Amino acid sequence: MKLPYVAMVCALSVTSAVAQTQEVRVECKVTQVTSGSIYIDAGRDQGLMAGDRVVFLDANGVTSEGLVRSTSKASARVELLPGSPSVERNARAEVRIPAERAPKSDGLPPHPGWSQPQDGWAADKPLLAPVTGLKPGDRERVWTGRLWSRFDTDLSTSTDAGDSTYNYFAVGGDASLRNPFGQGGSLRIDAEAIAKLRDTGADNESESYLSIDRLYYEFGGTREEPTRWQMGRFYSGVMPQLGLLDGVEYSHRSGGNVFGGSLGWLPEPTSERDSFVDLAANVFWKQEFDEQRRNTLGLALQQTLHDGTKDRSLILADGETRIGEDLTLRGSLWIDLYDGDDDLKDSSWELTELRLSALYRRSADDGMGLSYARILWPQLLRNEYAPASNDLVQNGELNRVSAWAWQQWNTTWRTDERLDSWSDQDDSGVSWEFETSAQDWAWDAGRVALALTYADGSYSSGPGVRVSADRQYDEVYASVGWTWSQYEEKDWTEDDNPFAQHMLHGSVDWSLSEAWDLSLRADRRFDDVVDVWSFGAMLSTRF
Amino acid sequence: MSQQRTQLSLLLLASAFAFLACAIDQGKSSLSVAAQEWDKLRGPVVPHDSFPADCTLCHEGDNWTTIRKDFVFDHAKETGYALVGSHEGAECLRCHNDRGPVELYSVRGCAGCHEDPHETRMGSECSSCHSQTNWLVKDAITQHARTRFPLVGAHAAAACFACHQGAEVGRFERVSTNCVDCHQTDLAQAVDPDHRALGWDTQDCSRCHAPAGWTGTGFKHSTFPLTGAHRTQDCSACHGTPAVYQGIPNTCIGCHDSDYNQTANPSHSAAGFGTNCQQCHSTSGWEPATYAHTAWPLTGAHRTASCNSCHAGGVYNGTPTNCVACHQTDYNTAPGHVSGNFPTNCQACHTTTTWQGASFTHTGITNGCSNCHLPDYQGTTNPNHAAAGLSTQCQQCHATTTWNINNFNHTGVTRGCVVCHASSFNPNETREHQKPGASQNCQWCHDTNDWDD
Repeated sequence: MKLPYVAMVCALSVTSAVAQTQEVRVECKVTQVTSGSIYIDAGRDQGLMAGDRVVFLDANGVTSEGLVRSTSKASARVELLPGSPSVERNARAEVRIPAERAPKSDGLPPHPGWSQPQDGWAADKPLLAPVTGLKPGDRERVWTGRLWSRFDTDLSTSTDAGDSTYNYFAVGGDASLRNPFGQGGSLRIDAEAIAKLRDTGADNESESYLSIDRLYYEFGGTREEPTRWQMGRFYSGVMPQLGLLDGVEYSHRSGGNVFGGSLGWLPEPTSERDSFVDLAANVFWKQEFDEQRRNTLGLALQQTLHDGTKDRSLILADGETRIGEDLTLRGSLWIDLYDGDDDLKDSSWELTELRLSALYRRSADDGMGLSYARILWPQLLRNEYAPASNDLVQNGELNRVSAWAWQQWNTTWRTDERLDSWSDQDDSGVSWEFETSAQDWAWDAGRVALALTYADGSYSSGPGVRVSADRQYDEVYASVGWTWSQYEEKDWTEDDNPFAQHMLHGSVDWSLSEAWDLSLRADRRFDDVVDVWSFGAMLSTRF
Repeated sequence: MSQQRTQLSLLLLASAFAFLACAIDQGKSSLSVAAQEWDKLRGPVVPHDSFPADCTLCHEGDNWTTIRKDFVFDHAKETGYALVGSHEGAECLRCHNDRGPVELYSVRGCAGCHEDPHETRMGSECSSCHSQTNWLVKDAITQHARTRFPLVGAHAAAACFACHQGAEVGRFERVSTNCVDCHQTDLAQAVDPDHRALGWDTQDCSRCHAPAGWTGTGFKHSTFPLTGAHRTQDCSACHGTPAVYQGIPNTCIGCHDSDYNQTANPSHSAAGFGTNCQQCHSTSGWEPATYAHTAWPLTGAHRTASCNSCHAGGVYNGTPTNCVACHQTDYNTAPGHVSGNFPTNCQACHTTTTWQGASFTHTGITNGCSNCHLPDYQGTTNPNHAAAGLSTQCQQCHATTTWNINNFNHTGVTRGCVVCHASSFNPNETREHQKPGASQNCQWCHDTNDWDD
């Protein structure tokens, strides 16, 4: 009885010994550590393959283990096994690989010494040629950007206005030409040609126009050049609150300071962008209090002339601070200065607009936000806002407070809550929303969500429900949704109150290729008064 | 002509797009760079000092411009910053470029790389409104419900720029919620009735119009809500022709004066009915009318009685409210009421549900029974109270809970026993009673303590 047992033990021992002798050890070193990967200086040339086990040894003898995920010629990317201690750069490592994978000697003689001496290089330094990037001005001219075509149509049936059709067609582009004049700058354009047609049966309206949102040449403002110039139609690179400008802007970065000024005309905020009526002169200064720009404070002054008449005198300020890694506070304010010509305003200055926000990301999975906005109507000659009555300019005031939070409970479930309150010179209201969603629950690569809502406006209020679902199919992203709201008109004394509103939505975003995308959508909105079918398509390409 | 010009523009635009798109597609090899590839035209603008030392991780071949075909960089895993939507396919250099270390920009969120046409007014989270795939705005109506003007009815079908003058260039703020600020044209065109002529251009549209719709169900008549039959009436029914909208009374009688005067059953005017019609009538229909009769609530049988039962001759004023005024005949013919000298406060015994089944609560009544029960006294034959000369103080023998006597108190009764006990004097019962001339003076043999002694 003992003989077979002894024979089996012997056989196993021999097999094990053979197996051990068929493995070779590859010693290597950690060259880089990122948040999810460790790179070692051994790769395919050393016989490593994805799946090989790597043991890391630190100076104190603590070991960690990982698996090779991918290899290159002389390097491999490794991911630590769960529970393994972290690894430092330059730590030693070893990999056991089958002997047949071990590199064979190619029999080539060692490389002779380099005959071309490298400036500044010494024998104790690694043999690496310095990487010298091309200066912006040395680069060749190249276009990058996006081109799109968009079509939308609404087919409405209304008990008020009968049937109507609305069509919107646009072709646009957002592009940048790098180094057009050999100075390292760039030319940027963002424009859209638009055509609209409305057919109400009794009346037809149509219009077409070219809307140029941005067209400017920009130079500097890079790590190579601290002075920046912008010319054409642009937003300020330092304080966009100054508005779109047809003119020129100068800014200079010096240490943590950015200062500058701009001069030009403010195009009207309409699709036609009518310009050359409101002349604006701006100066600005921004202080960055730390190298990471976590804490900044900006200040700007703007004076405008409307058709040659003194119009807006504005003080602008904004600030941002980060407390720790989790909390971000932001704020902007607009103060208008008035004089005797501004007969609708009593005081010499007014805080026309104040916006504050706080965002707290407690972890990668949850957080909350809070925002406040106070908005008054400034007295302006410029066609800046929709026409407002004198009463509104004098007494109009809108305050908003919003709070929201989100929690990702696990890889599947998430909840989102939101509360919005408002008050104006006449009324106030509070709206809320609670949504729960599940990722990869009903199907893979998809999400379903259910939201309960309550809206409270000046004229109507009521609860609602929203159901939505989406899914990613390879290159196609599809989503559908249904929203129901039961509105009640405030101060409504007639019959037929309340009434229900329904919205159905379906859309597909299809990535046709690396450069081409197609989006299609269909919506239906209907209630007691209107029934609207809406369809849209957008085709875009990147270059 | 304008429409033809627009259609021509559409054709030109479509052609321009097709031409440009094809040109770009054809020239892609020389003009464009696929995502995550290197371009020799641009050079190594991204500092490599933090990259792994092995160049072959990314580069291959004998030049620096060829990136390995199997090169993949998991941005979310390696940097903790996931690339979503179009960012996923964007060139690295769109973010990692000459401006400096991208981490300085990424901490500012979207505004770190993207220009802000909203001039910071819409917050820093672009993706709360825009799709990261194609930048289109998503769920605009849902988001609008968070404001002071949820989009209902026709507003949900309107283009954004119809109210937000600068919507097409990203400006949405400071839109008045006063209807007339957007509906000036509607106001000017409202000629039936002529709003301006009537001075309604300075008033709040919501007095009459609902945000859900301008006409039909969206029209409200807030000073005089149009309910029931009023909803289907032509305006001229109240406002006349030509229409007069000022000074129209909002009382029923203001329009229904002739109805009031012409009504004959009953004749409202003759009866002196009040002119607040809604006391009896509703807007659903002139009939049936329901008078609340609050001065004298109609309960029980009165609810189904005809008005004439009480208001004979259509006289509604001065109608008495005491029962007997109408029910005198009932009182007179009711057994024993008159003879018993019953009181005329009928409700003491009767309810309005039915005349029968009267019930009288004797609580607190300790004497004077014969005021009501004299007929009972006189009609009683066993024993014949009157013949026996029994007292009319009924309570001496009877209780208010039941007329039958359970325990007669004989105190003071010394004779006349046979009046009550005649049935007990049975000649066949005892020999004494069989004797001729046996006395019916019970007390001779019996006493009140024990009949058998």
